[in-house]
Amino acid sequence: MGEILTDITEGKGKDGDMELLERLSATLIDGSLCALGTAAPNPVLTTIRYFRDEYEAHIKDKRCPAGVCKELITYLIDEEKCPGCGLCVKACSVEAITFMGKKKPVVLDQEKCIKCGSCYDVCELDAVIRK
Amino acid sequence: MVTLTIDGREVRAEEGVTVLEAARENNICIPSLCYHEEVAPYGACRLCLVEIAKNGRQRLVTSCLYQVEEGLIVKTNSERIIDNRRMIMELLLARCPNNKVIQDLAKQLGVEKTSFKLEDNQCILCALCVRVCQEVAGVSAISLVNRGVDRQMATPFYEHSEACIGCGSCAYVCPTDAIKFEDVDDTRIITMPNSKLEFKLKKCKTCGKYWAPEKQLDYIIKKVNLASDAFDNCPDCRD
Repeated sequence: MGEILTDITEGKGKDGDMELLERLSATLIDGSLCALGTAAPNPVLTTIRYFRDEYEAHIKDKRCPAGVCKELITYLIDEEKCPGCGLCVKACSVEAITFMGKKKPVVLDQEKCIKCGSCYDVCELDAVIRK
Repeated sequence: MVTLTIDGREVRAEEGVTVLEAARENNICIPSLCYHEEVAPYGACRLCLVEIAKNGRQRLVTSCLYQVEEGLIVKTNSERIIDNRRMIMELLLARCPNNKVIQDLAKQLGVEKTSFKLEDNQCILCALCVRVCQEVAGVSAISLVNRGVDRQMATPFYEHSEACIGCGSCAYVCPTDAIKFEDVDDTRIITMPNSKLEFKLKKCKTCGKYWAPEKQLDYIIKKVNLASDAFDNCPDCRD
């Protein structure tokens, strides 16, 4: 169950994964010896019930609407908004953002980016976009 | 004696026996892997799930653990059970896709393929070997180690177990043949999923055949207070 969910968050979800999770949950509830076992799949079942569209976005569109699953999001610099203040350059732990000079937008190297979100948190002008 | 109904058939069974035992006594087939009459039931494989109705409430229980009760109504083949059993079989098949016993049982239960990621194991962690080692052999040389997905059957610290007497009971009861043993010349080799144990075999004084592990014979001599030369000859050469 954990493996299927991890795959979904990493964009490796397949059609039918949700149905499989539901079937597996049903068996887990029926076949468990103790009440902890019958309650174990509840988080999965309730998220499927209330956030089905999010599951579908992850599996079909390989997109994370909440911007949480690292494998499914990218950070971009909004060149119009970025004043080149350099705050994000300092915040970046892997030196993926290069300072290009004052009043010039910074450049983000996608290859180096580990999607930690530090730049997003530190930017006061919303010039870092999370997709 | 109590009377219960299994699949619409009235069955009489002694008090204290389990539903699985009562059913098998009456030629009602319930599949199972981790049950063995010589050791305490454990309910690990969960293939023996049956549906019981009591006080108007229906629920699933493992028949190898559930004791018979007066007036109990048991169903062994309802749709709910078959669905659950197939799902469990799919999980077992994903765990041991290359195991003949599992493949055959899956076919029997109508499971053609599994929807889960395949692993390459032989052991289904039913703990039958562990229980036999503890209850029948009485040495507790092997156990299940770690938790959750890391659970494994192993000797202590994955090393040559000092307690093991090389009797091979674990290999004998293993439902999936994950533990194997063979006698090569004067050595018995027991191959487990995580370790390989070797034992020196005793030579018969009369015919010269290697017939049982020295450690096992010493253990028996000590346990039942036999004379130290009680096992000098193999069973064929004893008078």
